[in-house]
Amino acid sequence: MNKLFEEYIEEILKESDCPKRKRGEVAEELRGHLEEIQEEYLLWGYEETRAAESTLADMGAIEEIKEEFAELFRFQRRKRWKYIAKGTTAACLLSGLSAVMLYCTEISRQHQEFCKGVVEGRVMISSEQFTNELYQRDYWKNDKVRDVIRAYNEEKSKYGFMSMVVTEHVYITARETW
Amino acid sequence: MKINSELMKGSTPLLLMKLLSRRDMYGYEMIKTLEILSKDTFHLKQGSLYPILHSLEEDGYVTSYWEETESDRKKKYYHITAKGKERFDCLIAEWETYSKSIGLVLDWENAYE
Repeated sequence: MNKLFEEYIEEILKESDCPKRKRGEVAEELRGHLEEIQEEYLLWGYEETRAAESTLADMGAIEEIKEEFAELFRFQRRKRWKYIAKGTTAACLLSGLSAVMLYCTEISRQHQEFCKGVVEGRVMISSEQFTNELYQRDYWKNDKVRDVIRAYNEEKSKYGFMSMVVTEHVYITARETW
Repeated sequence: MKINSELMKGSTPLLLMKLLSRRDMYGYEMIKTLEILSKDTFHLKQGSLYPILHSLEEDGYVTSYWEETESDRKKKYYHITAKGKERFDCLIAEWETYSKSIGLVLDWENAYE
């Protein structure tokens, strides 16, 4: 292992953002390259230290190479952070979305339970509340329910209360539609 | 004739991809092949080769793998990907337009006088 080469590699990598797991690989690649140039100089009859010095000269100005490597690793780091940021945002959105979905499911379950209670007579509500429920649940879009509600309103305006027949009708319709 | 390193820098990815489109190569082999093919004109600053290769790898234009060689030294070979070949075609088209346009400007006298 050539000391000059090791110092050269260390100098290039020491201040760069090269990730630790990649450092060994980059160093090994550079080392192999340096040794190969040196071997050629040795074949030309150069003495070992001079061969090593000429090898480093062939690599180019160390400051420039340091900067080129540093720029590469900075770019890779920015890219990694961008991925992490994107991943985190996606995870947050996803968990937020599932929380909202769970909440909605629970609300809907509670509401269904409540409506079932009303239809089965376990939960007492006024006829007015009952019709409101139908409205809120968009059952006014259902022709049958609309008719029932119309009948309810007519009876209410006529007698001031809802007859048992209509009440029964509302219950049956609700049971069918829910 | 020594070529200005800035001029060389812009076209290096194109030259490296050309080499890799023929066969997989390792860094030192690329430097030597460029010297031979350019009849000793292209002397790439050898240290600059790896940041370029690594950024081509980062962009998915090349992949790399280690291989044992006869000299007992492991060498890292680079291989051009399908995406790299597409990029290479674009770079060639770009280069042809560029060199043709430079030629047109330099040939001003012959074209109009």
